[in-house]
Amino acid sequence: MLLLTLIRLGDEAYGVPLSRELALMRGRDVSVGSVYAALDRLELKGLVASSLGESTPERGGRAKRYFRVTEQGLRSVHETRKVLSRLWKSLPSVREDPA
Amino acid sequence: MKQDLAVVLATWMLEHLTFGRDHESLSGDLLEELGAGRSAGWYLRQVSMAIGVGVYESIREYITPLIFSASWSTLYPLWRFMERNRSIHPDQWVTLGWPYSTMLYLAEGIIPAITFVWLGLLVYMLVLLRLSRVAELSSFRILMGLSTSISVLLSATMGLFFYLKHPVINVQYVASEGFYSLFRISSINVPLTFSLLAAILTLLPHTPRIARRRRIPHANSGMQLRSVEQP
Repeated sequence: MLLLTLIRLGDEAYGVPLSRELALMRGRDVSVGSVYAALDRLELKGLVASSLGESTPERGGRAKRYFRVTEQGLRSVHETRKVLSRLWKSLPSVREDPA
Repeated sequence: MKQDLAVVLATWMLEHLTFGRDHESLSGDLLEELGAGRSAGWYLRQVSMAIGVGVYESIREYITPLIFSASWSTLYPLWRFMERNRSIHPDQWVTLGWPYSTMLYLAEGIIPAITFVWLGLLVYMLVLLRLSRVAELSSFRILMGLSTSISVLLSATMGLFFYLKHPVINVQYVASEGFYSLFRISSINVPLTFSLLAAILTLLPHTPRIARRRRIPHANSGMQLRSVEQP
């Protein structure tokens, strides 16, 4: 979910838009600290890379940390999609109730 | 005014209690959201959760080495049993003069314990680590790990002497099979657990390897990246 959100946001993926987008998709508030923890783990696995960007006055002079999905991360997303697609195909259909 | 003070205090806590994590960007994000209209209550909740997550992430990486060390230490009686049938027996050393007899008694207790710890370290590296990570280890780090395990074991030996509260320190105690098992929780041998744990934590880069990033003026343009992995 996080990787897909990162891909969706493209070059503007830093903490604030990421957590807003995730909150929008999940329908409830997310913890920004948890998002960072998950991103750190993905970065250790080489699925995500990050770099420090500009700092703005409304951030108290603190730099933004931009994230992007690496080639390895993109491959992992495609692989997951393939696996999920195969699993979805084996899902039995639900019979419609006439009443 | 009180709200501002709470925010300042929470920001300070976030930047000092997140244990080496990248707190600058996180606190910047939270301040940006606060400036965009979020309440101080939301800010304080986010800070509390971020600190909680930081603590959990710090502890998480110690759990596997701790469980392994404790489990490995339970095998120590078996290790001592396996080396029972050897030709040299410590009782023969009493005939030697001081300091050789003392040194041999100490060696008799410490050498089996430390070889057991080092064997545990080897098993941990081969079984629980990827070979690529083992290959990354420098000889200096390996020496540091081995030397830390000895230091911890010697400290535990001294601690056990104090624990026995005997008026005269008798080094023959160290040579006895059950010496290091005097301090145990259930079947977990505490001195050997700590010795192995210290060796594993010294040997491995256990702190989160958060990339050390250089500041790039327009990092979001062109997806350029210059991150350097922290050793």
